[in-house]
Amino acid sequence: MSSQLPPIDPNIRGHLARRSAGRLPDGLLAEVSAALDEARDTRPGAQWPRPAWSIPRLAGAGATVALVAVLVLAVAIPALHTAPATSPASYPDGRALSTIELASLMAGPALPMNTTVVASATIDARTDVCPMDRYPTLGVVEGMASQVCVMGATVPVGLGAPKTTGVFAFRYLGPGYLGLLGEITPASTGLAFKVADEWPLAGKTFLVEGWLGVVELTESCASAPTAGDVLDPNGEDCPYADWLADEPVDASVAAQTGLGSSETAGSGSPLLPVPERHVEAGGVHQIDSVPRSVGGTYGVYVVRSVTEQCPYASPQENRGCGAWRVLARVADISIPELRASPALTPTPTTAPPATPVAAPTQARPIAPTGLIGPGNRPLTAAEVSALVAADPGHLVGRYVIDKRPWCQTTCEDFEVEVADRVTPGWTVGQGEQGELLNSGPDGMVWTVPQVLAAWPNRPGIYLVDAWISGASMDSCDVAGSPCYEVSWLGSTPGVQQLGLQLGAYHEFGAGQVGGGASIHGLFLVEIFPEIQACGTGPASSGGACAAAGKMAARLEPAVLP
Amino acid sequence: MERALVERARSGDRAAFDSLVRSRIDAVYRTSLAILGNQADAADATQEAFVSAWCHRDALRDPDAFDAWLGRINLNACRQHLRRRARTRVREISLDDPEGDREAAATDRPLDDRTADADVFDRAFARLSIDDRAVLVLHHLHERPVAEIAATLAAPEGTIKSRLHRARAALESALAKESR
Repeated sequence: MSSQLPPIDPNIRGHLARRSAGRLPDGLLAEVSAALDEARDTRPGAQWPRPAWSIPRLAGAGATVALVAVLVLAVAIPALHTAPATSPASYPDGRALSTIELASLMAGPALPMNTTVVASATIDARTDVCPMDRYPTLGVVEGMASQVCVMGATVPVGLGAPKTTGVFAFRYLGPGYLGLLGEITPASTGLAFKVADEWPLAGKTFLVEGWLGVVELTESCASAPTAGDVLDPNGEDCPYADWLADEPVDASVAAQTGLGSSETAGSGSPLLPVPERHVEAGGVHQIDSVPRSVGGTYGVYVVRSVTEQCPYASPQENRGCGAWRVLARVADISIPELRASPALTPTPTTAPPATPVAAPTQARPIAPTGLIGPGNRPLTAAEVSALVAADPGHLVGRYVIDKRPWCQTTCEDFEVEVADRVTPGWTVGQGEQGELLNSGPDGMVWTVPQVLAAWPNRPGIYLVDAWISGASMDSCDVAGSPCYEVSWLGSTPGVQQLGLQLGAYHEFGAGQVGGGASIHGLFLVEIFPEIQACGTGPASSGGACAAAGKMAARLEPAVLP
Repeated sequence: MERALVERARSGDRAAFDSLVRSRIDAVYRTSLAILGNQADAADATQEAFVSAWCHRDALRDPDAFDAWLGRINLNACRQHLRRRARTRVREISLDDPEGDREAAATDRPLDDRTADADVFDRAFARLSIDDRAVLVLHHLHERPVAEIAATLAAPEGTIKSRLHRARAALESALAKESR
């Protein structure tokens, strides 16, 4: 493929140079050295964040938390105690899943996306496995029957060691993928804290068993708060104030008294169940569908002490205020049936996880240049992994069309079709070609007219069902540099509609350019945003060499092991 | 010599790693600063990148690829900082936006006077995804060869050109929005 890049834009360069100008901060080298010392002293996590940043913020956190609590009490409604709710299941109350239970869970049917679980586990810190565009890889969970990768949205305090054992809160991101919410700091009396307990500070993540409710405020909101990232949800919940309490509020009494509205805030009466704490839970209401209930919704909640910009503080104010951010509600799921055989610990690989590690078999023939699933469907991660496991060399250098996590902006588009190039060492995923453009709500295969209609406003990766043929002119560069011969895709044999670089006809067709029969196939094509002249010489010197795209592969159905 | 230093660092020689830190901290910091646009965040990301590199040094397979490997780690550190900082302020630019499409069609033109305003540029740049920022910084500022950009972004070389186009189009679109 062409490696010629666009020319340097002096304006962009100037602005980027301006942004990166200035001296290296005094003491940064020393701070890095100190952080490395801490890392070497096996105190994982101690290196984050930089001391100069964290200390002043944490210093103000306690006082701010107290202030927030007082303010909430001042605007809340009378405490209305009710009978305890029905007892939930034994999990997640009081304990975490064992590693074996987690292994069974991950080996079983797919869970609903974003399901939160708490489990005892050992995370083997690895950054070279399980590529995912949305999150960096933190490691793999040991003791799983198949590879389970741990991804993270934030700097994971406590995961600096090669292996970290503890109780962790995870969100299920897909088969073989868990997102780390945090390592759980247990209470002195059990795993989960009560609201009345003293909660951890300093960025700790912990569980709170109780009732999450809201008070509706009368303030106007500049805009509707967003949920944020599923592993790092937003806290803002305007126009509501959120609380956690050890007991619920009786909704019927609340309705009679106006509980839940800040109209009662001026009554001077204590508003909420006692004890209660003001928390930030806007994101979790949306992500976990926790209703905004005046009376409260029972659950075991994952909470983190956070430091954030103080209300009404200027952006330059660096001290920060402390708050309790609810990250997730632990799902009330059935504990999976334990397998008869103990969980295995597969060797971490870069292949997509959640696929049994198969014993190598007899070498398979080199695959065609590209593979797709039967019936022109994308291969599943398990199928690709099985192909790789059956023979690691079988797919090297080949493209596969697979369906796997790709959460660039939101995990709503959790699975899409992706063209991956399989490379040695990295196997699947690191060499991803890109997301495929869909031809419709359910389709990923384009016709040539569809591509031409979309071009040039939709450059990208296409699967095109077409006939390929060669051009009559196969040279376009008078300067002697390698010339990109033109091949053509058309809706019918011999029709030249879509010009392609790379002499694709040589590789994927049936003969020399300008001769031979047209070949029908399913082609993986990158469409340029604009027509590009071929080669390095003047476009006009070589004649009709302008191309709208280049060919990556001709796809054939995979023969699954 | 450089390769030997990297190999010593990979085997746990802290002095060798310190030497690598000294020789690269300026470049790592400036890349972080160009991407993040904030000195404190850039310093944090720089520190985290080196600590992460040290903690995961055994994951480096090819000593000759140390710089690209470190660059990839640094990008991850920047990505994490973007997540922590102003979650709602950072928005991704959808190239499916018809408005953006029209603007994207002109991506080979030099940026015009709209970019004369540094504040407009910075706000527009803050709208880009981390990968878009990175590919623009690596190409237009550092003029890295395509192979190194590809290694840093963990992407095949053949996609860098299209990634640059996409990033440029996103920047154009963001500039148009910020200029209104």
